[in-house]
Amino acid sequence: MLRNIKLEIKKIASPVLIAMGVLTVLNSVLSCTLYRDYTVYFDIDAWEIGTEFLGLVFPLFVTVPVCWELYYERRNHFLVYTLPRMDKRHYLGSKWCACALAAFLLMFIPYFISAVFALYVKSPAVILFPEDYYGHIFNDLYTQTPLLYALLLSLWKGLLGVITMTFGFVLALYGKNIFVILTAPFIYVILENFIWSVMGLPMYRFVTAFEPSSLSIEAIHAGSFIAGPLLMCGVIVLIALYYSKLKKRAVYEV
Amino acid sequence: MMVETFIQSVLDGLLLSLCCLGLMGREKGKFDCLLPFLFAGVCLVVRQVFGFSTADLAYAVLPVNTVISFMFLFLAVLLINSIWFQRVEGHAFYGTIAAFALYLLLRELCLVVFYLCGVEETAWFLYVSRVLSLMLWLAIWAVGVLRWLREQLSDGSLTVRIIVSNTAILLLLILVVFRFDLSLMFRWLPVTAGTLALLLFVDGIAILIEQHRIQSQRRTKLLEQYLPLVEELIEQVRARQHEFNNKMMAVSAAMAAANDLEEAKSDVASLLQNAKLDSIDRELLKCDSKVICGMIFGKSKQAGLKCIRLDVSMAGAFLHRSLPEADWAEVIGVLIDNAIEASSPGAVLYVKAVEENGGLLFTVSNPHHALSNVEFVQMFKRGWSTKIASGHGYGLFNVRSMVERYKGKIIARNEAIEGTHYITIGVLIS
Repeated sequence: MLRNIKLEIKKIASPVLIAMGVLTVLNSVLSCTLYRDYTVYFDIDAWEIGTEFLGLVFPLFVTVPVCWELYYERRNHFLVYTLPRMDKRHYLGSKWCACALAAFLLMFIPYFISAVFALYVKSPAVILFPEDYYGHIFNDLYTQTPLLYALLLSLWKGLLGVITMTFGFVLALYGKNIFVILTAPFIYVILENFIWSVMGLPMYRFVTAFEPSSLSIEAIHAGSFIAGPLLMCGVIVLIALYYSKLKKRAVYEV
Repeated sequence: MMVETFIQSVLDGLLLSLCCLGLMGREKGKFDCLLPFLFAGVCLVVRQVFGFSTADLAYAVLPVNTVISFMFLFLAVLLINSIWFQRVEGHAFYGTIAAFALYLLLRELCLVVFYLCGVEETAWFLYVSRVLSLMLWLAIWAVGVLRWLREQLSDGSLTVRIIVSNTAILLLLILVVFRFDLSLMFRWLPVTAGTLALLLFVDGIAILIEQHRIQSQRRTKLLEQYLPLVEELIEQVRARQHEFNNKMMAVSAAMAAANDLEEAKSDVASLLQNAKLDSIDRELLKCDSKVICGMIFGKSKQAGLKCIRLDVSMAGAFLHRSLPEADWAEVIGVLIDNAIEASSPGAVLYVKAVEENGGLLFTVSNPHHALSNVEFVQMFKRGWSTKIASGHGYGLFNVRSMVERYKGKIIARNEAIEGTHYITIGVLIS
């Protein structure tokens, strides 16, 4: 299993490393520059401001460099070639593990390194200590141990990246249009965000779970972290059931 | 305000859909008239959702005014294209980029022209320029540029992909740098014009490099195809040379053995009767291009199989003309093939290359009843053929296109050779 995962990692290593490099540089540069136009209370505020852009388009970055490979393996019948050599579930399981690791790192590394840049590399901001109460999610962690806060949030974002990638992965197992496969998770996140907002329940959005500081602290509770990811998992299962049971589409053919 | 937004979005959607249709081609079984509505809807939605600006000219070029909102517009158009047009991924992706490149080029060009003409009314920039862009699209479509681009994109031409990507990125970059503010763009018009000139320069170099690569590939292909035939010809000449040496020895012996001059003359004449090169081989050895020599030699063999004889006369050089060697080979191939196909067994075809008025006149004559000028003109039209099956009738059309491109002349005339009526088709290239 481990050997297969290594082989699968090799297949997607180049695009993932390139995307990771680009995102890390972009996030770090934005974290060290964008905050100048904002009022900053703590150094880690610069990280939140600088990573806003990635928070908007992250579903594309965890899907595009990772999921294209599975689609092309189906299309050029490489999957059929593996059929007599390896168990189907075993092969797809190894592939998912490799993709999951890639998606996790694609989120974790750029976020965490940019946090290090924001905290220790950029020129120290003129910190205006708030006179009144300063409200932020996990306030103590955020203000007193910002690096630990960044580490935990980056890990969490990595996990959400894995769920989002799984969405693209399931579509790549059954889909016939590469553009739909690679952009569907992004469109889903945008639509889900829009629908929850229209319904007046923005605390349940996937975006809220990904970026808990996007709403005021009063609106956030434990459900905000669970609802969005759970709903996405449900949608993934429904899509898989729709393709396999209703449309009777096989994974091993395009 | 809503009505204005609606009208502008419809015009934007129409231009965008026409650009996509032109570069992706029509799709069987789908109503093309629905596509503009679809794109107009996308333009309207994107503009309403991301439309934060109230400035009049903020949406003069695109229905968006930030990079992020442009990304949404691009993704929406890409998705629609990939679903609507059942093309391969490369064509769908680069076709969408090309559609945006064309859209931006037409819109920015029209706006700059209006600015240079001193137009100040906002309505002209918002509505008339959009209509003018549509008319420009029609003009580009009518001259066949879009069809050519579509074919190149479909074939996966790397140069065309680079050019359309360059164009789209640069034109978008101009908008981004000027923050989608037209007044700023007009104020810095020399920068915009300079950037566009640079774009044209880079694209021109890319096209030249691609042309050079194509020419090299064609030349290599021709060499691979026809050089073995030249070797065969040389081998044939060598064999004759051996035979010729033997004949010379016999002549020498005949001279020594002859009793008088008359007897010697008679002996030598009878011995040398066959001691000469075949006329076609002798003529072909005069040819300065090995590729063309090999090709005509091959054609003569091909004609021989049909019991048709080629009478070749070479009195001019093919190389160092305006027409490249590869194109010469194509022209000659088409003319000889047509003549062979139009002749019956036992016929003699005349292939001549002569210097005339500083150019090379290459003609092929085959037995045929006299044709009128109208028939000769008809012959060079696209799709004209004497064959019933489709896929014919492009040879002479290609010859005409090639000759016109290199400022040459097409020669077509009726002739009588040794009492038989011939038609002669050829080219004059300087």
